[in-house]
Amino acid sequence: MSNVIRYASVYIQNETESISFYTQYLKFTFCENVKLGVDEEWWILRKDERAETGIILIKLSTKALSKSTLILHTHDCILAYCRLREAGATELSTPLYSSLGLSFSFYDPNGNKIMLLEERKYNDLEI
Amino acid sequence: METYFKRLKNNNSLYQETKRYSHGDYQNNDLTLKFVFSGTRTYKFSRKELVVHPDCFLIINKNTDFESKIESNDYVQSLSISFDSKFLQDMERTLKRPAAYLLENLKEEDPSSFHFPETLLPLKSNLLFNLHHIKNFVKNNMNDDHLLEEYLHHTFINYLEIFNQDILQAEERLNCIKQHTKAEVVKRLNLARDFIYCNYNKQIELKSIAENSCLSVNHLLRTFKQAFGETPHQFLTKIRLKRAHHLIKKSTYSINEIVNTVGFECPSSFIRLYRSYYNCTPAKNRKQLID
Repeated sequence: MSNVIRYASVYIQNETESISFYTQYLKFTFCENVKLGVDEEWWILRKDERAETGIILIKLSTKALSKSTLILHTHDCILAYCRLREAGATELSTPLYSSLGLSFSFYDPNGNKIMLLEERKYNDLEI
Repeated sequence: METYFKRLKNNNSLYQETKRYSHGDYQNNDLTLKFVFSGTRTYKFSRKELVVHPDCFLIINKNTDFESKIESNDYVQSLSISFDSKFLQDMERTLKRPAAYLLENLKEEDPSSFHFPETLLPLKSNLLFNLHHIKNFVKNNMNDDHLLEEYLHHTFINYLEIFNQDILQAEERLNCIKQHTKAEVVKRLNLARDFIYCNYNKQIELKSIAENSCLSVNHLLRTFKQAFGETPHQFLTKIRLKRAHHLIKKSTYSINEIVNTVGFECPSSFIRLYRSYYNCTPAKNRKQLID
């Protein structure tokens, strides 16, 4: 049995607005639209063709919207913060230090929390 | 020889240079952090001489005049980051005053009272990560003032984190009662650390460390361990191992040459200590880095 996680999912209401958000600010590429019966529809986004993990935007016609938190890796949190600010992203939280590293967050049009995390191994040995 | 200089709109500035020889007297107009990425650079001021290596850094306060020297066969890459008085004034207000007060008192012109001990401190934690990003910024010649402003802002925050850990918390860990005494002891313990940082490759004795820090041997031993959680000898061994590790990674010197360069007396004790610190022998580590 494979335990590799292939997709992270977020629930959305408006696919046009959401795809635009994820492609414009987070540089994902829209890959595929999948219909699952009559009540559920997916939009698959990836960073590139070879990326192992993608994002699925899920739209349900019957269920109330629930919110998710998506944690994305960045190699330079301050750089990502400045690039998003320049691109016009709003309500960016101030970069915050924690034992995991440096991170900041903001929200997609459906209220899902997007966190960008620069993981830092605070190991005194490697100087 | 390469140089890079950038002064931002808020008057914070960054200066990086790569040289084999440099010697000059300088007037320090802003509070400045001094780093080196490769080699060493010597600073002389206030009757002391400090050598900055890649594993430590130095802060020089505004209006402290200093002499700086690079004299090396290999290129020395060094970086200075200076903070303007108004930036420091704003940082100090933001850190000391509650948000409500700041909203009602937009223009308060109290000069910054930031004055830090001019001592060598370990380059670690978030400051180390941030410096890697700044180094890449300069290397890639990125023309983005807002990004650099943010990096320098974080550099100061990261410095305060180390100042808090290595100076203020060290004072709190001492068993003395009076705050004034704690501050004075840590000031002298920093002289001891500076002496070890700069003489790590010599056969230094506890007596000479104590003399250079104006403490008795017993007082030095007791307070050093209380403040920093390790004995002067453990600190010296750690510095030697780190500098040996740096040479293993960055130079082509043989292991025996490195052992002599960093002040260990024999290769076998060096290899034993290195293995217990890095969980790997020096030769294996070098091979892994080459592969």
